[in-house]
Amino acid sequence: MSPREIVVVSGKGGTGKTTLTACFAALTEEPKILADADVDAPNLGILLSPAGTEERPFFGMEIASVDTSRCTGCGACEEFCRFRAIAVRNGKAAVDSGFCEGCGGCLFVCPEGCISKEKFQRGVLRRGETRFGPLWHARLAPGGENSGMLVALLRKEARREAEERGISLLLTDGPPGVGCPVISSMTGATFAVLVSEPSRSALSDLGRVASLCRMLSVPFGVAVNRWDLSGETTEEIKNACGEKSWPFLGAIPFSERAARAVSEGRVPVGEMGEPLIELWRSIVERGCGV
Amino acid sequence: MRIAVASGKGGAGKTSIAASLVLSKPGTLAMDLDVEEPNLAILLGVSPDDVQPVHQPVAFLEPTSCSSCGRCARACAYGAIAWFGSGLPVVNESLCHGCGVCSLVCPTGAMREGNRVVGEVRCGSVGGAPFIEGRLQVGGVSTVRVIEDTIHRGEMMNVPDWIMDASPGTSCPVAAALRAADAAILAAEPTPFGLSDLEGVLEVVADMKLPAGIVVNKTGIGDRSLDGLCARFSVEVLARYPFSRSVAESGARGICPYLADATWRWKTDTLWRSIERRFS
Repeated sequence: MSPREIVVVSGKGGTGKTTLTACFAALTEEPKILADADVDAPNLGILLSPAGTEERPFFGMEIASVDTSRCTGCGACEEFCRFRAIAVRNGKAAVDSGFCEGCGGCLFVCPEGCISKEKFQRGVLRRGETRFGPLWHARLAPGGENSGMLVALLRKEARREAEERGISLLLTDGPPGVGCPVISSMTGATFAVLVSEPSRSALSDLGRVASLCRMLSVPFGVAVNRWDLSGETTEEIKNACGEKSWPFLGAIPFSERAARAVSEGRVPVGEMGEPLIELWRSIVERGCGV
Repeated sequence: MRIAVASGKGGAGKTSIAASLVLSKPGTLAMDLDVEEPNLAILLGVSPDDVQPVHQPVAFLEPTSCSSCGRCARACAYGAIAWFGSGLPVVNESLCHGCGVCSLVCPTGAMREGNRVVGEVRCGSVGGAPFIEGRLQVGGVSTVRVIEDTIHRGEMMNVPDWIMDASPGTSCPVAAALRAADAAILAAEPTPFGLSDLEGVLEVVADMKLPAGIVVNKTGIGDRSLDGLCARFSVEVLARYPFSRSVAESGARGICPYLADATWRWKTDTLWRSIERRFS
């Protein structure tokens, strides 16, 4: 049986995705697999301190590589490249690995045939054991491409383990934004929890990530973190939910104790208290929890 | 001088710091390169009125001249062209990166390129200086393309001083913004998450050999020391903004803390002087 997958996303960064994912993991006693799909800035492992970590390299698309001994510096590759990933510097073509998308156009246009494609490590994929279950996480090489591809691989591995071991719940901490890693994190998920906060910026970002959920046909609901920093803006978010038929899941007040617990590396289930339990219950009631 | 404000972690205060730097130095070009979730306009109170689409090439087939040789499908690195050994190849637009390889290898000129809209560049003005924002179309993945078009638009405005609000994270969208910068301001929270993500973005600026300085935001929420990272990457802390509920509340209402909080304002004016001392 295919596991249910709850993915926590937000649009805006810093709204508390990772903290809430860790709290949900602590709250449900059902066996589960955890995944940190924010491969740029992975933080779930910091809170959950996985042990016995296994690691393997992640290779993205093959990228261009120049045999500089044969390169004449003619610049045909630079002229063709749409990604500004290859340029002649000091008379030789040089590839910027952060921007090469591996299309291979430069191989076709190079009159000397001195460009080839080679394997390129873009990051690492890791698995460790936490007290709440196995955690799949990853790290993309700084400045790199292919984050969507790494997220897809990470979720595939987490799902494969769940299927093999008969575990029916997958909890995924997603990245901020609405771009390729977010699309890759949400596609095919059972339910998305959209974590917002009471600010104009977060509301604007929430609208974009909600549209993305609709586009990808992923059912979702909205949670507001630190709601009491602006009761007025929280009302606006609730009104937006009503108007746009976004299910409202719950709200959690700001707590300096919770913020401090996280900064000490603890999961703030006790500090967040009853509103957190109610939020999790409301996620479960939407047919995706235990 | 072109300055990018970046941070590994989201919500570390990039946009508040970027907006404050713009308000503190009139005449600065304000540019929002967080094209997935642009918010700088909200904090600057700008309503951009000039909206231009961002296009990206996309492959299409002119079937009458196609010889069904399959070269396009074999050359496409993204599996965006399906061809089953005979008949016409079929382009899957959602997988097409617009690299131009298929039209390059097509012997009959049947494989061509059109344009599709992947986002927008919006322009307006703030206090007489230009404001530019990139906005990725929801559902699209051409983040870097939109960023580069936005920067290109900025280059045509002939304003020497820029503040660019970059996206969170450490991957290609951040690198695309940093590539256009002379220096980077890295916003960081003094928490375990904040430090870990700061390390990632410090690695990116170090790889690019870009001068950088750190702004610690929300001091008091965490008390992790940045000394180790500063020493390892030879960067200094240029400013520290304390955590303040009133700053959080003004941000919630969409008001830039520069306009709402005297301490924040003074810290920002001082930050500009540090930036000029450190990077000019």
